[in-house]
Amino acid sequence: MSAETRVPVPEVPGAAPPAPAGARVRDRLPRPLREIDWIAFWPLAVMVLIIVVTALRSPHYFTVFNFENILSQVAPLGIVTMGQTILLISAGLDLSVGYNIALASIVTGLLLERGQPLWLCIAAGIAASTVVGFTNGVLVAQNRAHPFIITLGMSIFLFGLDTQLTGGAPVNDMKGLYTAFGGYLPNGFPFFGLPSLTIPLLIVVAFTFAFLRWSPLGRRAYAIGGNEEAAYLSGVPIKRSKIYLYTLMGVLVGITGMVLAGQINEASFNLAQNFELESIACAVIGGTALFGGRGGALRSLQGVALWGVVQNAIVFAGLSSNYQEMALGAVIVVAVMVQRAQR
Amino acid sequence: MTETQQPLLAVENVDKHFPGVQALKSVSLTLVAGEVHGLVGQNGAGKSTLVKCISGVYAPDGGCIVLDGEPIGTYSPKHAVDLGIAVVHQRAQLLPWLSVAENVMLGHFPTRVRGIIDRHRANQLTRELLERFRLEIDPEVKVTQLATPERQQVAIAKALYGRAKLLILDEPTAALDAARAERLFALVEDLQRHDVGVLYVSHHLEEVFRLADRITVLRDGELVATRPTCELDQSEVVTLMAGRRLEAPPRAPAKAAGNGKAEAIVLEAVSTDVLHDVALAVHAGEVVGITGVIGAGGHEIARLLFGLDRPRTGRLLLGGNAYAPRGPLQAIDRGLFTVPEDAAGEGLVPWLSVAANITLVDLPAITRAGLLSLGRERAFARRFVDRLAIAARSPDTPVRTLSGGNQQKVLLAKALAAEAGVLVLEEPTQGVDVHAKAEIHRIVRALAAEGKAVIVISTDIRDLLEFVDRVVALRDGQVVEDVAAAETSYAELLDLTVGAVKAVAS
Amino acid sequence: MSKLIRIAAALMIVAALATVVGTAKAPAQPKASKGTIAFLLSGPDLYYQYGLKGAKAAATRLGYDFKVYPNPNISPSVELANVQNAIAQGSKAITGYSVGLATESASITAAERANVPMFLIYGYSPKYMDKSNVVGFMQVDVVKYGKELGNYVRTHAPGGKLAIITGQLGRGDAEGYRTGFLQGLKCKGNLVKGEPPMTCGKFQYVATETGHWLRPAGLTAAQNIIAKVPDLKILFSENDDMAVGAHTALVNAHKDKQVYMVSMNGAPYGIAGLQAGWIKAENTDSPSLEGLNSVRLIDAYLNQKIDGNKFYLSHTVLATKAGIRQIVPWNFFTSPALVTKYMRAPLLKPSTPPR
Repeated sequence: MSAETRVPVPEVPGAAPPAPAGARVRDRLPRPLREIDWIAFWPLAVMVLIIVVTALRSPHYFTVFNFENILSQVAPLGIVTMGQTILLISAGLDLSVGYNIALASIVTGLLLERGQPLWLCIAAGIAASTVVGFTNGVLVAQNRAHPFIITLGMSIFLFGLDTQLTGGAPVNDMKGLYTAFGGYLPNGFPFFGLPSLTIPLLIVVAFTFAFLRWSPLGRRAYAIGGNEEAAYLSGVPIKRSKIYLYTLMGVLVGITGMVLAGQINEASFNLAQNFELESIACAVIGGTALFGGRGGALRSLQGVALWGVVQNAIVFAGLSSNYQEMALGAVIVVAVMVQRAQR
Repeated sequence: MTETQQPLLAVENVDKHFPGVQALKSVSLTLVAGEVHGLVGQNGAGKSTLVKCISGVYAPDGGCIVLDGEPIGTYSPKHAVDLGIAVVHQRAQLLPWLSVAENVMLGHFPTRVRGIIDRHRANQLTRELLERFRLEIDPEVKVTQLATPERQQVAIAKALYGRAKLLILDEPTAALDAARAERLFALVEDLQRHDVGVLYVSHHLEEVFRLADRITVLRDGELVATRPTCELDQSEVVTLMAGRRLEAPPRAPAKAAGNGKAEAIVLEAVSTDVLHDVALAVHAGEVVGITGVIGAGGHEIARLLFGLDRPRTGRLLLGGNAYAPRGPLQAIDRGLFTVPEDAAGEGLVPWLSVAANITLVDLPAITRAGLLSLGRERAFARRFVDRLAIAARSPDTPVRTLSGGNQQKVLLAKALAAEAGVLVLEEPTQGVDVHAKAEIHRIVRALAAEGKAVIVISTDIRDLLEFVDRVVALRDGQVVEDVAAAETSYAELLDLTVGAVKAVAS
Repeated sequence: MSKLIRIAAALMIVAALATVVGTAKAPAQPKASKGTIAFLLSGPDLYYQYGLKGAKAAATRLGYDFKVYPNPNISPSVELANVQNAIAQGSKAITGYSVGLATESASITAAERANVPMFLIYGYSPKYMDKSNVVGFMQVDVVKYGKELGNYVRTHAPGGKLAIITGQLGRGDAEGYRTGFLQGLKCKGNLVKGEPPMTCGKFQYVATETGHWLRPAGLTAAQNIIAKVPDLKILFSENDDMAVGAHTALVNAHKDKQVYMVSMNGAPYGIAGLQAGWIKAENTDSPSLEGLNSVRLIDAYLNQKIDGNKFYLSHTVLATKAGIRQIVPWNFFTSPALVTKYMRAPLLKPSTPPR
C-alpha cells in the first residue's frame, strides 16, 4: 500500500517520530486514553440528550422506577448482543439466536414441568443451546458458505423444533427460574433493589470485555475478522477458533434464554423473535463493524442502552409505537454512516 | 522536443491538503507533447497525490492545472478521460468479472442500432489494439483469469484506447517481469514518437533514467528540482529525494554455493502442477534469491514451503527431517515463516495495532495464566520496532495508519517474532522506495548473519543481485541456473529466465 | 473528522427535534380528569380493536383519560414493558388483554408491586385471582360457550363428517371452545384433548386445523381440511375472521353449499354471513361490550362500590338468522344512544369461576 498522503517520517532509528499536525489534543492525553476511539461513543451522547429532553417534557419519566424498567427490558437483549459482538468481530454472525434462545427456555421449561431440580433444568437448557452453537460453528468452519445462510437455515430448523417440542403451546410456569430472575434484588447496598436480571447482565458484559481484551481466543477473533487471510498466514487456527466462538455464543444464548424466560415466566417459540436482528443492530450502533475486525463489549452495551432509551422515550413522548421502529431504523442508518466515515 | 512549444500539461502551484497533512505544497511541473517526464520521490513525497490531482480524482486546494493552454477547473476522472488524460494506476483498476474487451471498451462501446452493444466489433477492436502492442491476450477472457502482469497490460491498453494525449504511468513495472517490462519500454518509446506526453512515476531509477527526458523530484510534498536527465546521475537524484546521502548498499559477499553450514531447507525432485523436478538447498546463514517470470514457479515454491500446497512427487526436508506441513500453523511450528507478497492485503490485520499484528504469530509468548498480558505484548513488540526502526507513534497504533514501507517492516517483524529458522520473503521490495529498499537489504543480511536461512523470491533481478548470496533462476517450472550472485549478471539471468530478448538493458 | 462531527451533530438535532415534537403533543389536562386508564392491546386482531373502542367509550363517559399500549407482535416481552410503562406513567388502572397465561403472572406481579389495579378480559386463572391488585377477570365460560353451539349443531344440522378450525392454542380459550363444542355434540372420547377421530352420534369428527384467529390462516386451514376430507358436511370455526377465510376457500372449491358452517363471535362480517345464510348459527359475544363493562367495573372498584378478585361472565347470545336482532352489535360505540343504553344497564354481577 502506498500511502502517499502520509507525512514521511525520517527513518532514523531512535529518533522520536513527530506527531502529525492535527493530533495535538489527543497526544496530550495519558497513554491509555489516547488510543480510545472517542467518536465511537456518540450513541451515549445521543442517549443523554434524549434523556434530558424527555425528562424536561414528560412527567413520570425521570424516575428510578422507569430506568429500572428500561434496564429489565433490555437486559436479555444485552446479554445476547455481547455474544453477537464477539461473532461480528470475527466476521461471523448468528441469525439463529431468536429460536435458539427459545429452545433453551423450552428445554428448561419442559424439564421444570416434570419436576426436575432447578439446576438440572438450567444446565440442560444451556446445554441445548450450546450444542446448537457448536453445530453452527462446525458448519461455518467447514463450509465456505457465509454464516448468514448457515445460521438462517439453522434458525428455520429451530423454529420447527421449537414448535414441535411445545406443540404450539407455551410452557406456562418457570417456577424456580421465575423466582430467580422475575423479581428484584434486595434493597440497600450492594444491590439497591435493582431487577434481578442486572446481575447476569453485568457478569456477561464483564466476561465479554475481559474475553475480547485479554484472552488469546478473543485476540484471534479480531484477527480473523480483520483479515482472515493474514490470520491464516500467521498461523492462527481458523477452523478451530471459529468453532470455539460459535460454541461460546451458544452458551451466551442459553444464559439469555434462562434470563428471559425467568423474567416473563414463559417458554415459547416466540419468546425472542427478532432478537437476532436487534442484537446485530445494537452491536452495529455500538461501533462493531459488520464485516469484522472492530468492536468492543462496552461499545455494544451503549448500543443496547440507546435502543432501550429510544423505545421508552417514544412511549413517554406520547408517540405511537410505530415511531419506535422508525427511530430505531434511523439510528441504525446513522451508525453505519459513522462507521463508513471512519474508514 | 523543443522548449518553445506550448506545454501539453502545465501544473501551476498546486496545493493539496488532507486532515493533518499538507500533501502538496505549491508544486509546479510542465510536460510537452512527445516528452517522457519522470516523477520520482520517496514514499509519502506526494507522487500519487499529484497523479490523482492531474487525473481528476482529487481537486487541488490551490493552484491550477492547464491542459493544452486551457485551464481545467474541477473535473472528474471521466472528464479527464474525455480531455485526453489516461492513467494507469499502480494496481490495475479493472472490473474483474468482465472480459478484457468489455474493460477496454468501457464507456465507448461500439453499438448497433438502438444502442445495443456490438460485442463482436468490440472484441475485434480490442484484438487489433492488443496486437498492435504485441500482447497475446484473448479479448474474450474474463479478467479474473488473467495473472497480474497481464492485467496491468490490459490496463495500459485500455488507457491507450481512448487516444490519450497524456499518459500517466504509476509504478507500471511493479507487477511486471523483465520481459514484459521491456515491451512496456518499447511501447513508451513508440508513444513518444507519436507525440503523446508520458508522465512516468517509478521507484526504479534505472528505468526512469532510461526513458525520461526530464526528471522531477518531489520531497515532502514540495518540488525539489526539475532537470533534464542528461544533467543528472542516479546518486544525485537519490540525494535530492531524501535530502541526504544514501550509504552504499552492502555488497553481497562473494560466496560459493553452500557456505559449509548445515542445510536448513532442501527441496528434492519436487514436482507440482507448475514445478518440474526442482532441487534446491538453502544453508543456514545464506540468502538465496529465486527469480523468474511470473508463473515460472517462484510463488509456487513459497506456497509449498508454507504448507499451502503439497508436492505431487518429491519431498521437502527441514533441518534434515521430513517436512510436509498441512498449513501455515505447522510450518510456523517447525520454524519456517513466509512473508507474502501483498503486505497490506494478505499479511496484516489493518485495524489491529502494530504490536497485536506482530504477536499474532506467537500468542503463547505473551500469555500468562491463560490471559494475554498487554504490558508484555508492548515490550515484546518494542524489541522489534526498535530493531527494524519501524516508524509508528507507539506499538499500539493501528497498522493501517503506517506507510507502505513501514507495513512491510511490520511483516518482517512478524517473521522475526515467529523465531523462524527459515524465512521466505516474497517480493519484499516491491513498491518500496530506494531508502527503504536499502534498509530491507540490510535487515536481511543481518538475519543471515545470525544464522537464519533466507529465501527471497522476486522478479526484480537487479534488486536481488544487490544483496543475495546465491541466485536460482526458474523457467517454466524448472531450475535453469543455481549460481553465486557474484558470478552472474543481470543480462545473463534475464536471458536465462526469459529466453532471447532483443533489447539489452544498460 | 469534520464529516463525523457533522453527522453526529445532525443526528443529535434530529433526535432532539423528534423528542420535542413528540413531547410537545402531550396536552395539558383540560379538565380535572379522574386519571388514566391503561389498555393493553395484545395483537392485531380486530376483536381486540373493538374491545378497545368499547372500553374507550366507557372511559370517556366516566371522565377518565384513556391510553393504549399496543403489542402488535403478541410478544411477551413487549407486554411486560407495556405494563411497566403504564405504571411508570401513572395509570390509575390497567385493563385489556394479556398475550398468555404465563406472561400474565409477570404482568400482574409487576402491577401488584406498584399497587395498580388490573382487570383482564380473558386469561382467567385461579392462581392470580387472589392477588391484591386484581379487580377481576371477565370472559365467556369457554366450555359452556362451545357447548351451546355444539348442542345446536347436534339438534339442527345434518349428519356426516365434521371438522374444526381452532384459534391459537395455548391460551386455554381455543381448547375450551373445542371441548365444549364436542360435549354439546355428545362425542365419545377424550374431549379435553379434542383430537380427531371421534364418533358423535350421527357425526364423525375427522379433522382439525388451526387458523390462529386470522382470516388468511383460516383460508389455508379450510383448504387443507377440504383436501383431506372432500365429503365434509359440517365445519365449526372458532371465530368469524377465520370463518370468512374458510368460506372463501369453500367457495373456491365449490363446496360452500355442501358444508354446514357454524361460528363464534358475532362480528359484523359474521352477522353478514348469518344474514347471507352461509353461517347457520353463531354464538356471539360483543368485545366492545366487554371492554365497556370492564371499565365500568374498574370505575366501581376505584370508587369502592364493589370488591375485587371476582369473576364475571361476558354476555353471550346464541343466534341464528331469525334472531339476529338480539345480538349486541360490535360497533355500538358509534352510536351515542347505544352507548348510553349499555352504560345504564345494571352492573354485571360476579359469577362462579369455572373449575
